[in-house]
Amino acid sequence: MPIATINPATGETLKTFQPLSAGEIEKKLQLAVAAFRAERKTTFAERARGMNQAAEMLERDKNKFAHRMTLERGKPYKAAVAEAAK
Amino acid sequence: MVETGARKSFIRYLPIGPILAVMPWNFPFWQVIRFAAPALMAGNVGLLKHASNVPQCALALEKLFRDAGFPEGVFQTLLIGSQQVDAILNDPRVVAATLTGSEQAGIQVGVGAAKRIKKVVLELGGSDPFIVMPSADLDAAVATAVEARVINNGQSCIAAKRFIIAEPIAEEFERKFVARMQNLRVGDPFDEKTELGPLASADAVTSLDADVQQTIQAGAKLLTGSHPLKLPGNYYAPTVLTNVPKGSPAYSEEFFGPVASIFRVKDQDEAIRLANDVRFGLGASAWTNDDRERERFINELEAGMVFVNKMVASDTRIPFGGVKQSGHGRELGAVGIREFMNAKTVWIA
Repeated sequence: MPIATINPATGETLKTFQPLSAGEIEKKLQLAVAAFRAERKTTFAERARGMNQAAEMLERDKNKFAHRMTLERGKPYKAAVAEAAK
Repeated sequence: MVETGARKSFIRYLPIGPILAVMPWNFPFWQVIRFAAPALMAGNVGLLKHASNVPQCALALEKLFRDAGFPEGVFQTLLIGSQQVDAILNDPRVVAATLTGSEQAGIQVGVGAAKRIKKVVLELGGSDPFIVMPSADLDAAVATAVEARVINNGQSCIAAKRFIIAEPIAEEFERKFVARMQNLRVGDPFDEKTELGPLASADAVTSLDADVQQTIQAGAKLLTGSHPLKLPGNYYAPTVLTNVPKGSPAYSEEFFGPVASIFRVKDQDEAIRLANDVRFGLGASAWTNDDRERERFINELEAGMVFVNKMVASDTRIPFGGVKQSGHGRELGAVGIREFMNAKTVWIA
């Protein structure tokens, strides 16, 4: 299955994406390992700040996120807004 | 703290490293958040392989965590095909995996993780029962039943799929349920009044319809629906089946779409036996106002979650997961956060 946005309400292919190459995956794995080395030394409170920030952004931009879900998935828009806000 | 002969002994929960998350398209944000929030709070880092049909959601999620202030690399999206997953599982830097999706995908990732002795959490399919006993509030049960079936256009692992109704109230339930299913507003998902949108793909409509037709041929009685709708896009008519024979697809398979099966039972014994007569064991919704019946449902339903007088739903505060072939391990709650932590035993002499 190609990596693509296909609107389920119309069948139209809106955008396709190239899968990552082995080299690009390797770069991401290196980044993950480096991030974990630093992250494991952070405190719960520090990580909670980021997570609360992410939650606030989801709530604030729920319409924008919901639009993507409805477009890619045909999810009723109201339900999509509720999912982003959850 | 644990009392032992040590001066001090305890368990310290520590993060384990990069975790691969293979996630499905049906709740493209929530499924990922449900993995990422506990994993990142534990101090782990996440690598997301999202379903191929939601790449823009996947990229938006990666950006969200960066914008929220998490350092680069803490949460990354990998736009890859499913055939590229095994190589990542094989990489020693990836320490564990979690998958929400189909049984087939679960087996592949489960085997892949087992070969490398890596922890895996699997959230797979479900064919959740929705049981209504005579003591229940029937109108509330009917309204919730329809919602529980068509949530997310019927494409949810915890959607109620099998409606198991006690004989004395079965006729009334059936009549009201069918009427509500027929009155669902089907249409454009961007329209705020729409209650039922399209399925995720044209293939999903074809395979759902094949399962419905096979069930009818096996002897089930059709109460409404059973055909794709003549609309552009992937729409299927709200469908209700009854007299579903054992061995037919509606009896034993998971239906991902707006198709409900109603079963009549003479008592609680038969309700429990029928509810448990599938290979799945994700959630169960039981409607009763009788305390003894309630206790029996809680103890005897083969499910990871039992919701009494309420539809099954996921909530960040309580664990989510199944038994039998619905998978193993839990997400969310304290149990969920510890799935991907090292429960390190410490003894100080």
